[in-house]
Amino acid sequence: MSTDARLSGLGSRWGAVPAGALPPPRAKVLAAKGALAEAVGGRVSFSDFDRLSYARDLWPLALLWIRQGKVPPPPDAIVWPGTEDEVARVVRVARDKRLALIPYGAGSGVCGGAWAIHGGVTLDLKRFDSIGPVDEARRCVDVGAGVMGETLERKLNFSGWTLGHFPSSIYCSSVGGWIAARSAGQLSSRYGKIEDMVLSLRAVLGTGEQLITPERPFSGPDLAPLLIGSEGTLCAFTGARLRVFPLPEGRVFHGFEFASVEEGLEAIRLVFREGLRPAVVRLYDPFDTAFVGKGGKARHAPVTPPSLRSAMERSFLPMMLRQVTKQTLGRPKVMNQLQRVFRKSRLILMFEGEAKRAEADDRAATMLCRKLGGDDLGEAPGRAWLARRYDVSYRMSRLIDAGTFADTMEIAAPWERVHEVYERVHAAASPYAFVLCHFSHAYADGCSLYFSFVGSGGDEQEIEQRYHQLWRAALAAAVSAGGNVSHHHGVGLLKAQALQDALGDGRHALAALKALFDPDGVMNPGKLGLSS
Amino acid sequence: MSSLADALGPVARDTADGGVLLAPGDERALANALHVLADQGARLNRDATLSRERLTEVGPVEPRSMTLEVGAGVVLQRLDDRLRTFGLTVGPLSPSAMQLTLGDFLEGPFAGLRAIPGGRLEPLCTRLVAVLADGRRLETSEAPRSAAGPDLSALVLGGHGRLGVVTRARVRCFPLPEADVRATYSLPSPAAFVTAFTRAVAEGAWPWRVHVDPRSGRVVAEVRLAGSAGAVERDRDLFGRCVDEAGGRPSGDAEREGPVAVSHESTWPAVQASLEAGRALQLFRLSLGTVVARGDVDGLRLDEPTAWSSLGGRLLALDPRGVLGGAP
Repeated sequence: MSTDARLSGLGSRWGAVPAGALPPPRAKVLAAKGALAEAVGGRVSFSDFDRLSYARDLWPLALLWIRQGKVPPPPDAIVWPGTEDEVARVVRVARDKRLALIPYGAGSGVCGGAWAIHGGVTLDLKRFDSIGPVDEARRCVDVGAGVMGETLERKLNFSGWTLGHFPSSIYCSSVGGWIAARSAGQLSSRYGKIEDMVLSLRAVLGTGEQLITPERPFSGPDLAPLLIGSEGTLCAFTGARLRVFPLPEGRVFHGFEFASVEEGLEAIRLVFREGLRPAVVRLYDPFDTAFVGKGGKARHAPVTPPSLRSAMERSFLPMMLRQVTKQTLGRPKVMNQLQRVFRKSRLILMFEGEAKRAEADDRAATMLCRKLGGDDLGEAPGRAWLARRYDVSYRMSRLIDAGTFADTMEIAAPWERVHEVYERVHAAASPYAFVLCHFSHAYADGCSLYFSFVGSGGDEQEIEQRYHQLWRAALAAAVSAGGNVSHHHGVGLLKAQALQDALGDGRHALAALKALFDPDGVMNPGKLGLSS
Repeated sequence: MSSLADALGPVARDTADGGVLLAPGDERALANALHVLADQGARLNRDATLSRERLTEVGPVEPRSMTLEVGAGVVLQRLDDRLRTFGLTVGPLSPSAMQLTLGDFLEGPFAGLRAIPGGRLEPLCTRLVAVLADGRRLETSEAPRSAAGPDLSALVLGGHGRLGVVTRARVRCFPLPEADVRATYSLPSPAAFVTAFTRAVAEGAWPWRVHVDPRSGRVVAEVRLAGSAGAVERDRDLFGRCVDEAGGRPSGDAEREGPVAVSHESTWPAVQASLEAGRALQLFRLSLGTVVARGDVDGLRLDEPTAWSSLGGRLLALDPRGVLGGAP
C-alpha cells in the first residue's frame, strides 16, 4: 500500500477527535489552505485527527500531559510533500504568509523538537522514502529522509550491507530525524554517529533554496556540520548519501565485572587508548549492574507492546504499581542512598567485522580488562544485552502507566571529567528521581553518560513540577562539571535554555546562521532556543 | 608608521614590503583589531596580514583524554617535539602539514587526521576558541561528541580564516608509538591495491604512511605502522589478509623515499588512476573517503587556498563588513 493510501485511510478508521478537544486552526493558516494545497498537489490536512497525531513526539512530558488529559499544542495543518520542489514551494508559502513550518520525520524525538508551539504547518517528510542501490565500490547509498531506520537496515542487510546505525528508536525513527538531531546508534564506537556517516546531504533551506552538500575533497568550510543537528530550524532534510559497511563476518562478545565504576571507566579508556574500537561498549553503574543489567541469559520472555496487552495488564497491574511507586519513587533520595550499597560495575564489549580482526581485538581488550582486575564473565552478558537491546522503550510505557515519570539524559564529557559529571548529576537529580546510569558511546578522549530517571509524586501536578526541577538541576550539574547538554538526543524544547547558556557568546553565531538560512524565522521556531 | 598600523596600535607593525602585520596576543586584542579594521574600511588578508606569533601558549597535558590546550600560533612540529616528553604525539601528519601552525592547519583544507573507521575524519581538536568576523568569541564544547545543535566549529575549520580566526584549541594527541614497523606487499594491479587498502582501513587499520609504486605490471606498497606493539601486530595481520584476498603477497622490497611533491587530498579512484598511469605516490591520513597523497595525482591542493565551493561561499554573508577579507 502506498504511503498516500495509508495516510488517507487513517481518519475514518480511527474515529473522530471529540469536539473542542483541540483549538481550531489559526485563521492565517486556514487562509493559506489553497496555496498549501497547490504547493503539495492537494496533500494537506486540517483535520483534528491529523493535528492531534502530529501534536507531539515522544518527549516524556507529552506522556505526562496525556495522562492528565492535556494535549500538546497541535499544528494548524499538515502537508505531505513528495519532491524537493514541493518542499521549496511550501517554504515559500510559509515565508509569504509568515507561518511556522515544523519538519517532521517519524516523531520519535524525546526533547519536544517536533512540537508546534507556535502552531503553523507540520511538514511530514515520510514520502521521501526512496532507498537507492548500494554503490559497492564507494560503499555508500542514497536514502530519502523519510525512510524508517528498520526498513533501511533490512533492505541493506538483504544485499549484504549494513549502515551500522542502531538507535533504540530504530523501529520508529527516520533518516531525516537522525540527521536533524545528530543521532547515535548502539554500535557508534565502531561505526560513528550519524554525522560521521553522512557523505552528502540534500536539504531545502528556510530561504526555499534546494541544496546538495559536496563530498570531500572540496575547498572552504563544510556546510554539512552546520546543518546536521539543526533540528529543523535552518532547513528540512530530504535525503542523504550515507556510508555503508559489509555485514560483519564475525562478532565477539565479552562481559567483565569491575570492583567499581571508576575501574570500569579506566578499562574503557585504556581500550580506546590502545586504538581498539569495540562496536559496543556499555558500562553499567552499580545498581544497574545489580539488577537491570544483570541478565546472563540470552533467552527471555518477549516484552509485549502496549497495544497488545491484556485488560489485566492495562488496568489492574498499573493501578497496583501506582500505589507501590508512590511509596517508593515518591521518596527518591532514600532510594538513591540505598543504591549506594552496591559497588560492582559491569562492562559489556562487542567487537565485529572481519572475523580474525574482531577476535584479535577482543583478545587485546580482554587482556587489558583482566589486568585492571575485571572478572571475566564470558560472552553471556553481551549476548543477553543484544537480545533485549530495544526492549527498554516498551518498559518505559509501563512505568508511565504506573503513575511515574521516566526520562533519560545523555551527555558527554572528556575522560578527566566523566566521573565527576556522573557524581554531580547523580547528586543533583537525587532529590527528584531515582537515578540510574550507564556509560556508552566511548571515544579516545571521552565518553557518553546515559542517565535514566524515574520519579513520582503525590499528584500529577507535583509529578510534573518534579520533572521540570529534575531537568533543570541535572543539566546545570552536567554543564558545571564539564559535560555538554546532549550527546545524541538533541535539544528541542527540553534543553533549549541549557544550550543557549552553554553556548555563551557562540549563541550569536547560531543566531547568525539562523538569519542567513531562515531569514523570516519560519523554520521550527523556538527550538534550540532560537527565537521565532 | 602607516596610518593603519597606527590605528591598530601596539598589536600591529609595518613590514618591510609596505604591508601591515597584525599580531594579537589574545581574543580581546584580535576582536578590537577587527573593529578598527572595519572602522577604517580595511580588511584582514588584504590590507593587513595576521600573525599568530603571540598566540603560542601551551597548557598542561590532560593525560586521561590525551588532550591539551594549545595556542593557534604554535607550529605543529614543535608541539610534537614537546609532546614526546609526555609520551604523546600529534600523530602522522604529512611533512608539509607538520610545518604549519595549529591555526593554519585547522583553518586549512586538512579536515582531520584519524577517521572513525570508515567514516568522517575527526578534527585535530576537540574544542576551539575563535574570534568571528563580528568580533564575538566562539568557544566550542570539549565533549568528545555532541548533539547540542549544529557543530559551530565548522564555521572555522577549513575556512581559511575568512569566517573566523582560531586563537587556540584543545588538541587531540595519540600515545607515542612503542613499535614502528614497515611491511611491504606486492599486488597484481592498482585496483587490487585500492581494494585491499580500503578494506583494511574500513576494518580499523591505521597506517601512518604508505609508499606505493607501480612497477613491471605490479604495485609495490610499503606500509608504515606505528602504535603499541599489539596494535601494530593486529594491523599488520589485517593488512596481510586483505592483501592476500586481493591476490597480493608480502614482498621483501626495501624502503624507498616518497616523491617530493605537493600534497593533495585525493579520492581512491584518483589514486588508482595515478597508479595506472605509472606514478608513484606517498599516502597519508587514509580514510574510506579520501587520502592525502604526495605525487602526481588529481585532487585538492593542500598547500594553498583554492576557490571555495559555492555553498561555502554562502557563509561569507556572516562577515557583512568583509573584515576578514572575503573568499580566498
